[in-house]
Amino acid sequence: MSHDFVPVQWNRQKFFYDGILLVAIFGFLASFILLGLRTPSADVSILMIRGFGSCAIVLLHIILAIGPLARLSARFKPLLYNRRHLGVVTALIGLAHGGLALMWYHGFGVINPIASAIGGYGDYGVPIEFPFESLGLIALIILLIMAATSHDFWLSRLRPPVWKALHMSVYVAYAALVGHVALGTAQFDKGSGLLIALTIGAVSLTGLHLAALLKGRSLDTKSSQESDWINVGEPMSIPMNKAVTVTPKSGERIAIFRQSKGVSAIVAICSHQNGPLGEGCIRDGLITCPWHGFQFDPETGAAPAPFEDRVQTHEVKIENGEVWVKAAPDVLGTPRKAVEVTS
Amino acid sequence: MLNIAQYISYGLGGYVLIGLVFALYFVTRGVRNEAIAGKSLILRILLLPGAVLLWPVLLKARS
Repeated sequence: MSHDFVPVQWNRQKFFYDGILLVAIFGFLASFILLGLRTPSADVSILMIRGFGSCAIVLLHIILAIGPLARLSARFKPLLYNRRHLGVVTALIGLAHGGLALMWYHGFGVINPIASAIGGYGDYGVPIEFPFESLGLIALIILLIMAATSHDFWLSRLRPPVWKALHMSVYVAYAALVGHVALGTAQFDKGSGLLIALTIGAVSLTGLHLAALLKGRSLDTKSSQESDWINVGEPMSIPMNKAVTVTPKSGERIAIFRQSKGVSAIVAICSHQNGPLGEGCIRDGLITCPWHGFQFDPETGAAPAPFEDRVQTHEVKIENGEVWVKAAPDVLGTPRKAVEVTS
Repeated sequence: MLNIAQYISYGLGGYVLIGLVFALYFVTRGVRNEAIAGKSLILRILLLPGAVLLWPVLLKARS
């Protein structure tokens, strides 16, 4: 967006959320180390390395669960609003894990530590001997890039589609981390139960994402597309100040809103972070994204000044008491007056 | 394998080093985005890691 940048957009809710997050992280690390110290052969350094690593992967599971959970239940949307801080903290904890592991296991030899970690042992040609630390390094680099570009400045600089694509690489990081932990456990820590916990986590995340996908599809209203136009049904079937969504045969999902001025349609994807605008509502006469509260004029698709973001509009008509929306979006910036609903 | 790993590690180190030099220039003098020009030191420090990691993207955008 084009508003005035500030270092961190903290407010009362975010302070509260970040406070809980820090307490939970310290609690996790302290419990992990204290419980580990009960083992006779325990080593504090190794416990710290594993504690940071475990904490990072637990946090990554939470991060990846928030998106689908917010789609399945509105109660989780506040977590979505705060997800950015969680991502930065996860990357920093991952960095602590990686840095400590690099120093402890590879920092005291004659070979440089990174070379030792990714090429000093194992065999890339044999799956079970694959150097698992290289996968951890890949995941860490991705998480660090995401954390480093989490500020709105980067969203503005890289533009939303590039920024979003960059941040979708969190799934690559997750896959690399699953490989990192699975191989590390198989090679050096058999019988620790980590593999079972990881499998439960991966299956749960997959299930949540599938459930969210099905819920997203089920939100579409029943419609029929005839040539260039899609029948949306009676105007009153659209809840006041809310939207129904339809998906054209080709192209992006369309959100059709009804408000006091009439019916308008826009592309249902927020230009901020691809949030589902069709699940938002009209607030102060503006379409409001449910994810981060970004707003757009229903008739122009433009964000209110001083913001400069826009989403595409769609042509709407009411014929024989039924709403029709044109399947193809307008050229960006094309205004479309709301079509009045006459009873 | 160790030789390749060493080249990779030197490559990573070189990339970050160039990034650091570029990022220092970018956040102090090079940034042309009006929304960020003249902003607080904390904000510039927060943008530094991104500039270190994405310096080729920023360099390309400036050329």
